[in-house]
This record gives sequence, C-alpha cells and structure tokens, in this order.
Amino acid sequence: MFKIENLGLIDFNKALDYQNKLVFLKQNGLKTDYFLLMEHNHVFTTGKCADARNILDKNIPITITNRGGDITYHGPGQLIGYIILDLKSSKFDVHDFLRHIELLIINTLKKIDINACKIDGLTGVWVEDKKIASIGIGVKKGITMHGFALNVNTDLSYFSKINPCGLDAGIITSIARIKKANINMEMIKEMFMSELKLFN
Amino acid sequence: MTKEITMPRLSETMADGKILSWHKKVNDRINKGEIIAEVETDKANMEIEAVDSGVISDILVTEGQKAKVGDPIALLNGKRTQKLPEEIKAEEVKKEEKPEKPEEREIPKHEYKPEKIQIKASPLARKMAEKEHIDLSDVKGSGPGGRIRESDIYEYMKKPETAQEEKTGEKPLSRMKQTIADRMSRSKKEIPHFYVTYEVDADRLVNFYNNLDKTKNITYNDIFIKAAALALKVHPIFNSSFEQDHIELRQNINIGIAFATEDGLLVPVVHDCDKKSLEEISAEMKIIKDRVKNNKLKPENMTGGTFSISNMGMYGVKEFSAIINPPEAAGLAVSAIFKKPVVKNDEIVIGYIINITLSADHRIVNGADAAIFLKDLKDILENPDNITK
Repeated sequence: MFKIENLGLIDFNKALDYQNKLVFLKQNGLKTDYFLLMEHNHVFTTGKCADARNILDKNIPITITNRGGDITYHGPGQLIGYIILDLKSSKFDVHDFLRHIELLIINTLKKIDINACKIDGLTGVWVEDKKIASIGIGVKKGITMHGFALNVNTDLSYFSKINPCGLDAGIITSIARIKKANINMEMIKEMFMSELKLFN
Repeated sequence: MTKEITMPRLSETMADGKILSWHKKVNDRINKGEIIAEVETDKANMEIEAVDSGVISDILVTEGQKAKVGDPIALLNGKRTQKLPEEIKAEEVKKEEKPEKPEEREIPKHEYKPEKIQIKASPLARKMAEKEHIDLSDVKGSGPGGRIRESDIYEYMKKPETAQEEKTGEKPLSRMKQTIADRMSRSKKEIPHFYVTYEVDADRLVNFYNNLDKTKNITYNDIFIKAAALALKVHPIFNSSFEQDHIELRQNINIGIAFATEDGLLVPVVHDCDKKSLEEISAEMKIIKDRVKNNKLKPENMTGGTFSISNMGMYGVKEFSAIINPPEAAGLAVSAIFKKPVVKNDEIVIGYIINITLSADHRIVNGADAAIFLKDLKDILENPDNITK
C-alpha cells in the first residue's frame, strides 16, 4: 500500500533530497511505498544524456537529475507525482511500471472527460497529438524514484525555451488549455489518489 | 578466465539500453551486487549491478552509446591490455636506458611504420581499426602510455576528411529520425503495398501552368494536391484507413506533401483540400514551406493526413514508387515532366510526359480500383482547366 503525501509547492531540489532519503530507507528495508504529490517552483531539469541542442534559451539554469529522458520544465500549476516503490517486490518490470504510470494518468483524465492515450515509443500521455504529461523515472538498487509531470494549469510559455523531451514546444498542452478554464489542483490530486489501486 | 559483462535485460520488452555513465573504470575491482553503471531504457534510468566479482579489463560500450540486450559491454578478468601506472613508469625508465639508433631517427615520420605488435590498443579499437582499414600507427592514443582506445579511433575517423566520417562514422539518430524509421519500416512490414503507374500526357498541364498568374506563385505541387483531392472526392475508398475489423472512410481530404529536410522526411498536411481553391491551397503551402524551412511546423500541420504526395520531379526522377504513410490507404509518387516522342493522331510528335505512380494498400483496394482511380487522376491532369473550376 502507498503512503500518500501532499507536499504542496516545493523546490525541485528539496523534493529530490526527500526522495533520496526515502529511497535510502527503502533500500534498507522500509516496507512502505510512497506516492508524493506536489508542485515545483520554476525549474528546468534533464536526464543524464540530454541533448544540449534541446536547450533553446541558453541562459536558463538547468538541473541534471538521474531520471530517464531529455530536458523538461516544471513549475506552478503542474502536478508532479513521484513514486517510491520497490520494483523487485512488485509485480512490475521497469517498462510495465512506465506503462502503469501512463495508465494512471489516462484513467484520472478520463474522470474529467479528457480522452488521453499513450503512443508506442513516445513515453508520456497524449491528448490527440498533444503531450499533456511527461514521464521519467530513476531506479536505484531496485527502488524507483521520480515519476510524472501533468500539466494542469501550467504556464506553457516556459516550454518554448526548450525542446521538451526533444519535441517542439508547441506540442505541449494542459488540462486548462483543453478545458479552457483553470482547474482546481487539489481536486486533481484527489482523483489521482483514488486511482492508485492500479499499482496494487 | 575472461568473462563478459553484458547489457542486462531489465524488462521483458527491453531491446537495447544506453550507457549513461560508468561508475567503474578499467582495472577497477568490482564485487557482485555492486553498482557498476547506469543504463537508460525507455524513460527510465536504471542502475546495473555486477553479476560476478573480478577486475574490469576492458570497457566496450562507452557512455552515451547503446548496446543490445545480451551484448557485451565490458570484460572482466581479461588479459590486462591497459597497464597500471607503475608499470608504465617502469617501462619509460627502461626505454630511456636504451637509446634509439641514430639512423632510425632520420627516417621521415610519415614513412615510419612500427610493427603492429608495438602499438598498444584495446581489442575493440583494434577490431574497429581493422574493419575501417585504419593503420593504428596513424592514430594517437589517449589512454595511459599512449594506448589507443575505441574513442581515439572515432576521433581519428572524424578528423581528416569529413567525407570519410559520412561513410564510416556512426551517426546517432535523432528521435525524429528514429520515429520516421519506425513508421516507414512498420508501413512496409504491415501494409501489403502494390503499385500502379500511368504515363500522363502533360502538354496541357504545362500550358496550364505557364498561363497561370505568375504573381501568385502557384507550383506544380499545388496543382497535384488539388487534382488528387478532386480524384479522392470521387473515390472516397482511397481516402480511408485500415482498422482492425473495418475500413474507416475519412471525413476530410487532408493531403500531405513529403519534404526532405536535414532532420529527415517531413509530410506536412493541407487540410480539406477538396473545399479549397487552387489559390488557397497554394497560399497554405507557402506558409507550410516557410515553417518547414524555419523548423516551425505546428502540430496541426503535421497531423490528420489522409493521403500523401511525394514529388521528385525537381530531381529529374523519371519514375519511382512511394511508401504509404500510415494509416493512409494510398500515396502518390510524382516524377519529372520530360519531353519524349509520343504518338498523337497516328503521328509521332514531341510531347510532355509525366509518370505518376500510386502505392495502395491491398487490404483496402485491389488493382482494378487503383487503376480506375489513377485513370481519373490522369484525366484531371490531362484536362487541367477543371482544376480551377
């Protein structure tokens, strides 16, 4: 079972420290799995093998992390979900796990009548031809960290400074853009929590 | 005994993995269970653990490179090809004690080819050099004691002539190119293609083009788009896609035009071509071309295509056939307009000819359907005045 924690608005690095702490505890026998929900302050992050050509505005500070994937943006209005789980004692292998994160987001979006889907070979969640959620995880000694970023009310203009995940920034969308109205973040968080049974 | 460390299968569906970083280097002792590297598969960054204990004798796949599951990425307990620092030192001292013969020094450098056995190189570097016909004595080694590593071979191959790099160097695929590669091979694998070609009498078409208002800059491509849209309107089955258990007729006629760009093939789409005039199509194509050039295509320019046209006329190609752009039912290949002797009213005259080839999905249509469709398209192109009506 997951322990769900709502961390509110928190700096990326502060949340990273917290994730590392939980991963360390789990590597040393802690049974509880964690599902962390939060929003970050403005930050651009990238996986280890990012392509510098995807940083269009060379003046932005970049944080390098141990998740998979290329550069992306996080900021207020974007729902971040981190999953700290022991992959070895779960029923998933790493690719199943990624597919289940996609499914979790798709099922949640269905509740607000957004028909989202996954695209083979382009990990993430898509609404028609636009990307609404990005996924990138790290696995340290069998324990997962990082997770997904879902654009709820994100200011999408920040994406134009980069090629998010190597794609054109115009391809990014948000719930607010689709619904043409801002959405209550806490409501979305609640909906995620009730879909978590997927991982049991 | 030498053991291979292989790219582990981290998931049922994993085909390959990219080494993101090595936590160990050559000559490091590793213990079973210890983290030796980080690998990226899909959007996951995973640590990999040593399966055996021993000393790493060679790293075969360097950071940033990919390896297939099961392929060796490093060697364990092999014959050490890389010397320890103290051994190198000892060797250097030895060398200094033994001065070289003066006559040897006078040999010009470029003719001086020491025997291969004297050159220190990693096994992979040797293999690569052999494959690429590179003389190891020409390569500068960056390893300890001047040992040549595979990265030095890459550097060497990159340096002298760029043409050589094109031919033999590895060029990493951009994600876009990977996606295109997947789509193209999936199309050829899944769609039973067949091809029908017609020779179109292009005399009137050339005349029509020459008489167009030149200020509007209408191109042959614009004409082909409009002509294809007119033909598709009459034959909606060619404006469809094959689904699992049915054929889906597409509501709109959205025609894509293939562009060769530096990043690979792009097929931007003009929507509702049947409802737009030639001028409107042309104006939209101008915007699209501009966006292609500046890498500013919008998603709506890239999606929703129901039929594609590939025109290689500008390269003087006489005839070719295209791969269907999935999930479309068919695609048109347009070749160059050229002059040749043709029979008209039982007389041999010089006329303009253009070959058009339709690639079609045999699950949706058969040869006769394709012939009828293409014949109608040929008629439209041979009587182009209808295009502006």
